[in-house]
Amino acid sequence: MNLTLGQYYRANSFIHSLDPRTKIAVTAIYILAVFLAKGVWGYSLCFLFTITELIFSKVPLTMAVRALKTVIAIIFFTVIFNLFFINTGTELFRWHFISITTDGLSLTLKLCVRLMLLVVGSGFLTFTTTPIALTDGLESILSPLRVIKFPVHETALMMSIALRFIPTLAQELDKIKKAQLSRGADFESGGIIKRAKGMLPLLVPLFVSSFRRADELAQAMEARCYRGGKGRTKLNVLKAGKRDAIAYIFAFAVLLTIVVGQI
Amino acid sequence: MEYIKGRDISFSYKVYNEKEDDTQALEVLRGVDIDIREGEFAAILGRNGSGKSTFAMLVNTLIQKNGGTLFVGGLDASKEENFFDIRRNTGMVFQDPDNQIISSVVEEDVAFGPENLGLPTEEIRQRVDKALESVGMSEYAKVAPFELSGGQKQRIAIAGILAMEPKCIIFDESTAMLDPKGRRDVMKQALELNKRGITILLITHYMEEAALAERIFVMEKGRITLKGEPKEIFTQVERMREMGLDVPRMTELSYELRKRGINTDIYTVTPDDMAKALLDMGFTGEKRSEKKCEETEKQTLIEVKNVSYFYGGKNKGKKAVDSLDLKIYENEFLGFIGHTGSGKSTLIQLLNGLLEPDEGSIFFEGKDIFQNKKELFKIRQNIGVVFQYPEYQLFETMIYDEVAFGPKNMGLGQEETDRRVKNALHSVGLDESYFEKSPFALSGGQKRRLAIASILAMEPKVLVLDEPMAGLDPAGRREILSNIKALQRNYGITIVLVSHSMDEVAAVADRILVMNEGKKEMVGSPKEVFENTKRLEEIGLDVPQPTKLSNILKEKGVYMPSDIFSMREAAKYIKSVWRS
Repeated sequence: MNLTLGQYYRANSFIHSLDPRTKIAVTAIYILAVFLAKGVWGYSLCFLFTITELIFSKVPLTMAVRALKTVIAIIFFTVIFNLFFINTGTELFRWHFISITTDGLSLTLKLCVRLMLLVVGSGFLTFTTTPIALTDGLESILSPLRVIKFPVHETALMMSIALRFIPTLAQELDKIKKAQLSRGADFESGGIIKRAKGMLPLLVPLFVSSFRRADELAQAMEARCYRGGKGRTKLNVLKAGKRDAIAYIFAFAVLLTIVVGQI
Repeated sequence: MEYIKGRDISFSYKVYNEKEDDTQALEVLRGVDIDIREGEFAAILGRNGSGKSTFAMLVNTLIQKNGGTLFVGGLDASKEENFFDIRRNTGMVFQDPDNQIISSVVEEDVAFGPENLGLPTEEIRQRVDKALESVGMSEYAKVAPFELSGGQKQRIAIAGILAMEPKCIIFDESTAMLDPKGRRDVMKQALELNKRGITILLITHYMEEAALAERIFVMEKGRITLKGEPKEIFTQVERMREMGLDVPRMTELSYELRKRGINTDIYTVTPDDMAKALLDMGFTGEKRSEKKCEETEKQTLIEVKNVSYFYGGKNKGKKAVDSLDLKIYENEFLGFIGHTGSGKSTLIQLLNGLLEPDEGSIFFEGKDIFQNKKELFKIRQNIGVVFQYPEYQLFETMIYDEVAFGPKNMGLGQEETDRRVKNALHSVGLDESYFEKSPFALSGGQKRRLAIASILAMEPKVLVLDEPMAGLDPAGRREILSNIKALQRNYGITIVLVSHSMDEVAAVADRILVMNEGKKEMVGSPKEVFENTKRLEEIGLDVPQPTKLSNILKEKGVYMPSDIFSMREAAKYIKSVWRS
């Protein structure tokens, strides 16, 4: 069974080599820039940013664009609502109660471009960062929250263990499903209630086994001297370097141009 | 000096008794006295539930004893302030490789221990690299653990412990879920580490592994009832059997020979030693006509015709099963062997239509099983599959209902269901007194038999079992194996058995299929298959101990038949040609 988590694309590129914190921050700056952009020039700049990401991440174009598939429904409804229900501006077309106006058209276009830029541009974060590096980055970024007693380390550890066990449990579920199929179980036919009941032979064993695994994992962790985040050091310490500085400068330049130039 | 020193250790936990609505103390350890010396290689043997793992967890301070004293590395294991130091010096490799790997990247997992110790980053890096190198896994540093085989995962777990630079490592049935090559690799590691001065405590169900230890402790119902050098332990053949354990196979042969007046050294472990002993005593062998397999007219029940299956969908990725042809005959006992990832599991799933072949077809009683997809459930009734660790598929609250699940899915009436449930449970040795109990209250071996019964209740013509003995103690293994053999003999069921134990497959199977890289490597009688010793070893498998003995003797020009897989038979043969 092939299970690639998230949508990480394995490559050796400039963006891949950045500190995950940088990538999270730059993505945030980019999102801000897209929201603040007002007109054609602003959007063009954001588009340029996305193209730069594409080039320096070595992610294939098809993969980057594929992310749009997931939001196609949202884009569709945005188009419908804005196009047909905004009635200010000059009317261009009318059929019964539906009318298309210049305002409606321009707003629809703007929203579509904005949405597409958001989805494609921020997608590079997950394309170029492994889930585990992402967790590390988040842990580091959120670490100031420790002051208000937020369990930053524990949350990050939980996330990474969850990531680690997704393939294991998926395999297990597949195995249980096949075992119950061999016993004549039927997961596909019948009404909602029958189907829900039919899930029991899957869910009970999966829960039992998850608890067993959790218990054994906890023992294995304790046996390896785990006692919470206090006093822990790390094999891979996040270190920002020159490349990260370049990324920050570029992102801020785009944002500033958009804000100051009001474009 | 002792590394582990325990006196009169007792441990019990409370269990809820439904009938009396009260909690009862369940004694797991009662008065254990044990000394394990620094730098020693010690093994603990015992049946499932005899308290071995509990003892290991006490040593690692994961649980606390109720009575007695326990010192580990000179530190009192009952004092909380010592827990950290004991754990950093005493590593533990658990049974299930999946449940002890914490990270999604190999090197980060190995680093987990040193990180907890609060070591500086550069030192962690050094230790991780060194540890991975010493288990031969350096090239996998950046790989995701779920892409590795069981044996490789266990080596990662060992590396994770080595990176903490421990004085002692406990292997708690760490080889139970591995194939022969994985097992050899882990044992090789353990021996090497011991040479470097690390104390090793090995808990195992494999007698040949325990024979490598300097001393063996045998646990029985929470007590240590035997201890001594392997020689002292394994020469008590009858005693070991009574306890539900076993002895190395060559020791068994020696015992059988001595019963027949041939006094070989009673403690013989390796086929090499046995061959040498026999030759020294003037054994010359004598060619006898080897039993010919009776060529009876055999009915083909399942026919696999040129079947291929790809991992990633048709024509994508590697072939899990590659252009395979196979006939399975009515009422035969067919063994499947092959290393992890050789395609055995995929083949099983193809056999009962859980997977659809990308190329070729499978015929059951002459009909293509995928001809009518709506009839697939009928195929699955006829070809019952018991998967690995089938106890993990149990879900009902009562044993009776668990077994009735299959027949009910078949739409059978109350009476017929009842008859089948009773028959199935009886045939695996679970009587009426169990019917209303919870499946989860059974022991490991019983759960396994219950899971087999839940398939038997569908009255299949073919029963496919994937590693049904894995993780069980010797008595449990013997019981399941004889149970399966009886199903073939008494109920006319065709059996397909997947196993990593060459000795066991050889003893029960009529024919054996060897898989390698998705292809059929060979198929034939146990004798025909195991005569290809070299090839089998090349593809990560092993041969039964008696085959090894026969090979060594043949090399010396002394004849020993290669179709004998039972020690009693071997002893009988040697006696029959003995001249002195």
